[in-house]
Amino acid sequence: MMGSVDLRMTKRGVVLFIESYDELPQLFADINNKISQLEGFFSTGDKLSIMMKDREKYSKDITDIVSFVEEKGFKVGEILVGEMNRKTPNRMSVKQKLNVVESETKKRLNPTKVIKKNIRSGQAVVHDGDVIIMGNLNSGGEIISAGNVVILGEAKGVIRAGVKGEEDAIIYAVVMNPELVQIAKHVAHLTEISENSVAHVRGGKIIFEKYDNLNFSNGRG
Amino acid sequence: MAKVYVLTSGKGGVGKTTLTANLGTAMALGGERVALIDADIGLKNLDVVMGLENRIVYTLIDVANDKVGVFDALVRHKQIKNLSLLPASQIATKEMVSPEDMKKIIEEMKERFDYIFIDCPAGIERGFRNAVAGADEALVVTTPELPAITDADRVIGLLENMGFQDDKIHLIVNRFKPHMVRHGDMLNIEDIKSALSIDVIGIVPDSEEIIISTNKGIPLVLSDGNSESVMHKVLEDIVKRLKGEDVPVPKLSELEEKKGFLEILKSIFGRRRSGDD
Repeated sequence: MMGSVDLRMTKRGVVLFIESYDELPQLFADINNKISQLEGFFSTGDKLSIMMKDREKYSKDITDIVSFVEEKGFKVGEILVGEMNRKTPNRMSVKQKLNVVESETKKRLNPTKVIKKNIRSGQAVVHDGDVIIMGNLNSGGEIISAGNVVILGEAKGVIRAGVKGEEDAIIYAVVMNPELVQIAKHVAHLTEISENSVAHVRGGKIIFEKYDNLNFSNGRG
Repeated sequence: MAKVYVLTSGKGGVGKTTLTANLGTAMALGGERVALIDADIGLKNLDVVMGLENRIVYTLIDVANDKVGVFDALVRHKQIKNLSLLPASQIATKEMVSPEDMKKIIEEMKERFDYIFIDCPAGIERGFRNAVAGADEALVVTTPELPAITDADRVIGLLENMGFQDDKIHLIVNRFKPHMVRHGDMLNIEDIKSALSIDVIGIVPDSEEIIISTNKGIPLVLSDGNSESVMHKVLEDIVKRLKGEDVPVPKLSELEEKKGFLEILKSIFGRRRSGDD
């Protein structure tokens, strides 16, 4: 019988075709069913690619489907989106694909604002994008940015980054000593002055780390 | 044409009025034609510090309301004929004068003076905007305490927003205590400089003589007997810098009175205080 899922052998190895489904639990049951029909065919650690037809469901459910398939003992290879009969569907690894999804949903921000002076008490910089301050942020001054904030000086005022909800916004300061830090909806006070420091959100709260301990080039941070 | 300085601070009680009186007097002693303007309407003090409170006929409000001309309202100093004060009214409020009025009044005064010093009220509201409106340059007064420095920073920011270039804003650090700095108990000049990043035009040490002179209504630079004191030199040096002379800002040790003199002074002061009690 032709269910919502099918397993096929292709040039790229075994591919799990996901045609259509209503709810995730139903899909998981179908996948279970399909795999048990071929008992003995697979062994733990086998590579399995996934192909989904429904783009909308894909962006919503793919992370759940991947973790379900991995729980079954498979290594997920490629993740593909499109029609089954398409000869060359878009090929991307999980990570690449997720990164693309992320950058597509990211709001397009204005160009970076660069300010070459000190921000004094009572002055505010409000910008719908990244902000770079080439000077100090004095106590009582405030930066409100929809993107990242980089302060090439001493930061003593209030810094708000990613105010439109960007949890991956970061705040960097040569001397980090702010009155208040906000990233997306999270707020934090710093208990002690740190130098060459980055504030970012991890595990639902803001943490401060030395810039040297971070490695943004591999997507961490 | 006069050069117009406003002495401002944001925070109250840092010594704006006392410094206005003393810098103005010291400048006038050098022969310049000097006018002082008390912009602290409703809380006037400058006339008291100058000892001119019982000579006032008309005030700034009368001038702003076109009741009298500027030069009719000016009060001339008792001894120094080239020093005048435009007093504030105690019964009016700051809202009764507008920045435009102040500009007009100062424009008129500029013709007949070489230097004008405006004593700005504390705060950053109407009174501040009035005081700053007609000024060419600002002397921001602060003390080596964090609240005063934060307020000074705010005021410098406001001045920048109003169009004052960085080289038109100068800092005077008042009530400086060299011995506390030496023990690390007080912010030093470098800390203040780096916090505010503007040019320091003067450091005025904390002094008991200035309290005495203020209470007498005679500016310190006019009182006899101690013309050799550090305070005299410090104030005169600021005046020289305002005139454009290149006088280096003194070292920490140069800001302290000699031991013997300080002790004499302390004993005088101590007697007065206990007498008052």
